[in-house]
Amino acid sequence: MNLNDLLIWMSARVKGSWQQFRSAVEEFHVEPENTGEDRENTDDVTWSDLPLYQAVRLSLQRLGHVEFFSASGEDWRVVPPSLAITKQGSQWVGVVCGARPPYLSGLLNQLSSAISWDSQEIPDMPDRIRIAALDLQVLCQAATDMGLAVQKDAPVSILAAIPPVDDPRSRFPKEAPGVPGWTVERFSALKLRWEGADSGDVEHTKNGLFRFRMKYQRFHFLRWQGRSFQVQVQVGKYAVLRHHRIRKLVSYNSNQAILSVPVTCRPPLLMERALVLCSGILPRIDKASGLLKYTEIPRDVAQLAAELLRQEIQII
Amino acid sequence: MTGETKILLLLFLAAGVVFLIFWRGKRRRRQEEAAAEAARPPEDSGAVEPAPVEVFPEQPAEEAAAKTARPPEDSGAVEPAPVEVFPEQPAEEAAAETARPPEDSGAARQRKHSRKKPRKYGGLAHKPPEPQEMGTVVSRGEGEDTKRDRSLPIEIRLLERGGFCTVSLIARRSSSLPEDLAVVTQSGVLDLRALQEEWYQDVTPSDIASILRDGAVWSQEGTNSHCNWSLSGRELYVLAERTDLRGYVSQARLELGRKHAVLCSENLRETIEEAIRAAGAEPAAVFDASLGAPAGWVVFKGILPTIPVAPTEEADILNALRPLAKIDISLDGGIRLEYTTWIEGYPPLIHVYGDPGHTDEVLIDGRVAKYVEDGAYQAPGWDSVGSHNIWCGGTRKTYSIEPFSAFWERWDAYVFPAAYGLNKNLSICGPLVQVKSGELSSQTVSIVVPETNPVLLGSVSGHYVVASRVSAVRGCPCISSPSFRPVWALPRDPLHCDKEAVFILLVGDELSPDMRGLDCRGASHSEGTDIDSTYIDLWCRKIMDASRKGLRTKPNNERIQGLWHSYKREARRIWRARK
Repeated sequence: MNLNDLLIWMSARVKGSWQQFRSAVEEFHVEPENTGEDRENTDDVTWSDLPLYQAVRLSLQRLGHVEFFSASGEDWRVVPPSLAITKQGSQWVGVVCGARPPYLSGLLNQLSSAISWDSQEIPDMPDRIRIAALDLQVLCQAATDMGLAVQKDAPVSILAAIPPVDDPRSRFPKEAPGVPGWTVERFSALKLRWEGADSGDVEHTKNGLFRFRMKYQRFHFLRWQGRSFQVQVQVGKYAVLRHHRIRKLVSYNSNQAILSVPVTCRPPLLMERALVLCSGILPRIDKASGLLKYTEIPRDVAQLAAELLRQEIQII
Repeated sequence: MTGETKILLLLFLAAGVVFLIFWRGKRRRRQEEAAAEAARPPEDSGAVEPAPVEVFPEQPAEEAAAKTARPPEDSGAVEPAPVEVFPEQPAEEAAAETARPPEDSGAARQRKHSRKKPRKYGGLAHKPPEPQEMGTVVSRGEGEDTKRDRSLPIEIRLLERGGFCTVSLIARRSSSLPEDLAVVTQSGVLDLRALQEEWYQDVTPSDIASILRDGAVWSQEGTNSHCNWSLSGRELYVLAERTDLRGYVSQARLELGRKHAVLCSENLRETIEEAIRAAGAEPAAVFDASLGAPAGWVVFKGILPTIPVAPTEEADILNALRPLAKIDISLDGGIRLEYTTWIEGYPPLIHVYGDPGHTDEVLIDGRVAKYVEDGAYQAPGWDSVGSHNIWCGGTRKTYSIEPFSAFWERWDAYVFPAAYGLNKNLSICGPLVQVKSGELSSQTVSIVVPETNPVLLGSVSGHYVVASRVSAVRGCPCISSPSFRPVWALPRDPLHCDKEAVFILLVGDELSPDMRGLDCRGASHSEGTDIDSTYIDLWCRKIMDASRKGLRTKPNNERIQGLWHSYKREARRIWRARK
């Protein structure tokens, strides 16, 4: 049992509750294979549960297979089968995302010789399926014939659609909880870690990111120019880093096409999805350097991502 | 009518209502006492008030009716009381009842008898299922008569107190049934009162000995619903403790490791004792008629079976005393869609656990299953679409396989305003990005173009749209979801751009200008497909301006240049025609 079965089950159910998802993770005996996946995952969530469910959820979400707690109101809902196309060298490559019906492999086997495809087993994620062709129109037509929605230049399209971390559209005005019982921490932009604080600090801080924890609940509040906003933790971190003029966290290896960020500073979810869709593979953690590495990233995508994070990209 | 008379009348009515409430409360208490009485040992029951008539329908009809309908002595002249005896009756019937003397009412009830004959219990059969045709799909409820009367079971309950036992009948209740109702039985009408959500209070008719032997069918009285309760008659009952009711309640058979009581007729006593011993049990106590058992019946209590006994294939009443070996049929793995349904292509692995002496033959859909390498059982067609059943040593389990079937729609998982002051939103769902403007929500997926070339043109004159720029960050492209297939991306102002750095970009299929259905001015002939003339002008002007500036195409090969020239010619022609 693995994440492939889970994805087929979710594809058959189309949408469902968090409880059903958790039960399915349990039933399909999904076990984390890559124990290097650090606890930073739990930092990204604003509510509680076991890390395994969260890790699976985040993997599926980053890969663009399933959306969780989205604007549609469902706890989870499968993305329609789609092909995220990017240009890699001389050919166009599409990563299969979303619902994965069991008959898909049969359809892939019937593709014309002008199109190649491969399915790769990778730990902690459903098999990566890629379809490639030299001609974009041929690839698009084949995808349409298989019932896949097509998104050309998927990583760039996503990055073009999301506001930068310091844009007001990335945050929502909301006051931090005033009631006692919360453990309050403040993000240190210099040390890139959370440090103890108290709720009084929130009001007296003009710019800063605070984390409120109670049992399994976590909320993140950004103080920006003396006002409080609720933000995604990653957005808040990069906004604070920008404020403190810490701008050299993102590096890019142009030879290997690898984008790296500190493991404690993951990009926001949709930005991460854009980076992941370049290769269809989740980032890996380099324990030696403490960096999170995204592979097969084209230079223009790396530069745009860094711009949206308000970072200066260091090209190696 | 004077005011005083009105007040007196109101006072009289109020007194009547107060009395009615008091009388109903008193009657309810009496019924509860009667029900409790039924569970008491015989010598206790003599010391209390006689139980209400509905518990003992064998009383003389007139007396019973009189007791039921008669208000308490202190009720005086209050007449409406009899109506309250039948709260579930329709209003008209109740009104007619009011006008009738109470005795008539009681007699009428007594005359009601159930004509339905109870069934006779034939014993449990353990025949393995017959092979079914492969690929047979049996849908739920198939072949069932939807108009069939609802039927609920009557169970047997055994209570023990102070060395005496009481045997009673306890009727099942469903959520749709009222708290109080009357049922027509073979010997008259019985009133049932809810004990819990799922049970009515148990009753002990005086002819319980014959009911146990011959069975009973009760029908709900006085409503249009057709709810029946049934008990099939037999000479042997197996009872066990339950979590929701005190005492012992009837069930199908003995189970290993569980405490039971067995109620059987006197003439089967020796056979039953022998069967109980064969199951490795010894009764801890025996009750006969002198200790509360119904006349001609005997109760064995404290039976704890320890040895499985193979049941006979044919129906045999003694199969109820043959506990099945503990066999667990387990459906593992596969992709279970819900409950007992698996997805085609991902069937469950069928494992059978338990006593090896009883698991040698496993049948799937009536066919002998083979033990395959991974410890699972398989038979021909076991993984085909449809319903399947597994049988092993009397234990059954069912599962079904359904073809994969799902439909996925695109929806807005994340929505952002495209820019302040613009009536446009950006929607993201997985890798799919769309730009949506107020009224026009195009279903086409977005296209990104460099910030230098935000103008998108299609193959039809007037297919013109300007892509949006969501953020001001350097190098961020523009994005649009045009309702047409874009061919070219041009600069916003072709005449004032750097022609060394800015190009005419081919962004879609190499479509030739499509002038079908358009007149010489580029306007549409067909109704409903009109394109705003402003966009036709813009389409023409942008193409002519880009040509006038001498911008190069990208890719800049002969074929693309030729395609661009055809657009240029078409734009000039339309422009002249519109002058």
